[in-house]
Amino acid sequence: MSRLPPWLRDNSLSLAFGVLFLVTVGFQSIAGWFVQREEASQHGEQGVSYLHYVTSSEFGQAVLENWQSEYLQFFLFILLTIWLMQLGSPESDDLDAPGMESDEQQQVGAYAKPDSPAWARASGWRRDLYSWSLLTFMGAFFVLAWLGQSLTGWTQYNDEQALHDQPSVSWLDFVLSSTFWEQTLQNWQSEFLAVGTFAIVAVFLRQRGSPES
Amino acid sequence: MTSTRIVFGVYVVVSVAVMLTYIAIGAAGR
Repeated sequence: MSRLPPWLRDNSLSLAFGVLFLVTVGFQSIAGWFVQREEASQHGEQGVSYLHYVTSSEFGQAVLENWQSEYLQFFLFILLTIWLMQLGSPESDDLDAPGMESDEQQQVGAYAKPDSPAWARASGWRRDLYSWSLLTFMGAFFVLAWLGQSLTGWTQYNDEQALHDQPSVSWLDFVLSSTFWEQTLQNWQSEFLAVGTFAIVAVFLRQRGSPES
Repeated sequence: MTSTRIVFGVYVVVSVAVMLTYIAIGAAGR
């Protein structure tokens, strides 16, 4: 690692996951496009172009239903670890330090270090916003992704309704439908199991070298 | 820190752009 340029070494974790994301979402789009063409040919129709597919609600729904659950997972994990604890977990607060902690412990306001961000030193709403910025970010991304999932899923649902000569439904009707909740909950359940598993398994198992252990 | 700010910016801008794009596509019924 020491032979890498500083900018690459300093950001290697984010960049590695960014590259993994681009490669996998690229292959997902190609595989999804093939499925779309197969289904079209089974109905005696011609499939759409690749560009048409990646700018369709069909692909958007497949992407965003997974995104929303990931952001929800981080949102809830950050929120719940403020107060809830797992004895022995590296991801948990100490048992004697639940809750919001003091400015001294959080190193904000009068206790900020010289190299702390300006808003950590500020008072009032700017310090509050900075103190809650990570949770706010994850929450906002969850809402955006879930809204995107609902709108693309709604369009896709109405396309299928039209294909079967059924009436289209409103966005609200779709959001209240079992189709939307099946798509949503199948992603939530897997995130919650994974986080719960990680919280308890990391108490007893180790990975040498990893800060997650 | 400059490179870290750039990576942060790329993550945020690309993610938001993707989400807003599909919100617009879904809302437009495409």
